[in-house]
Amino acid sequence: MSAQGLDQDFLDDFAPRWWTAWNERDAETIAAMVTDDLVYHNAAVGKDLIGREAMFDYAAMLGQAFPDGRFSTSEPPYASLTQPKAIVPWHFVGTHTGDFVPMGFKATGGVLEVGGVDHWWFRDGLICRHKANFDFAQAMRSLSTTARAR
Amino acid sequence: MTAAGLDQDFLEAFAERWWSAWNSHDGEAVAALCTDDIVNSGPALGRDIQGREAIVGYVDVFTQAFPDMRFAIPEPPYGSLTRPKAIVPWHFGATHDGDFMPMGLPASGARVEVDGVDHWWFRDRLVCRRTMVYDFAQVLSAMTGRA
Repeated sequence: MSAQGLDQDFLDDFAPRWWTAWNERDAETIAAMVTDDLVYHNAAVGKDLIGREAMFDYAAMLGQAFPDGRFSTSEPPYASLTQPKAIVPWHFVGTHTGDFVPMGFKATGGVLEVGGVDHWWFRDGLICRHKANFDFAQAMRSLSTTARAR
Repeated sequence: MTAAGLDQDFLEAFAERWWSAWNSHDGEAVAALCTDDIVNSGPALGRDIQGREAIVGYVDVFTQAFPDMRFAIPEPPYGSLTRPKAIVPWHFGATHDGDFMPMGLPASGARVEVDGVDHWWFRDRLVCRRTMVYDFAQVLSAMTGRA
């Protein structure tokens, strides 16, 4: 890494491992890529998740709620020039066949599709703070328009 | 600019002008930083805004709904290394003191604070495509008082 920014080679190695772990629903690998005092902020979760164990639980839960869920990326992650941070665009598609616990959403059978970006702050090669920007209204709309008629 | 990516000095100077124009509520100045075939998309309107003239009207829609609106910039823009594109973090703060016409939402007096990013695609040193990414659910709930 440079004096202050984030090294692009490090980031180009880290990001694919992160997305592969999510796409393989490998909560253990995901938890191993964050610090034990991680702060994770996501509009879908309601309150911040703190710590490695909370990350593990959330990743495992998401994997059950969307068993075919898949993150894809259309361009490389963006490394900050001024701090150990990255911005990482992603696109998520998944079928909601399990319960999404934080919001109390029972399985709808709908397809959730939404794009967004992650902000990753690093310490010692691990994510110590995570924040996602995406349109939660759009995510809910995609789900409700595709939910199975019951 | 480099072969494929975006020059950081250009990008930072451009961003400065862009946010100054927005914070001056100057639709003409924003439009002057866009190509004449600009395509602007984001959660608020549910449809794309196309062309420089439409951008002027688009800025006016926000100025009317949020007379004190201000974009604060928490960190420098992130230039792509592989294409003429950037990701630009921002924080929007405003009071909903006017009607938000696209959704017919009457002034609520509510404070709206939301962060997000812009994707900017450049052509000839102007923005030819802009996509805003933020949580519109959060903005709507602030403006309507509904969770």
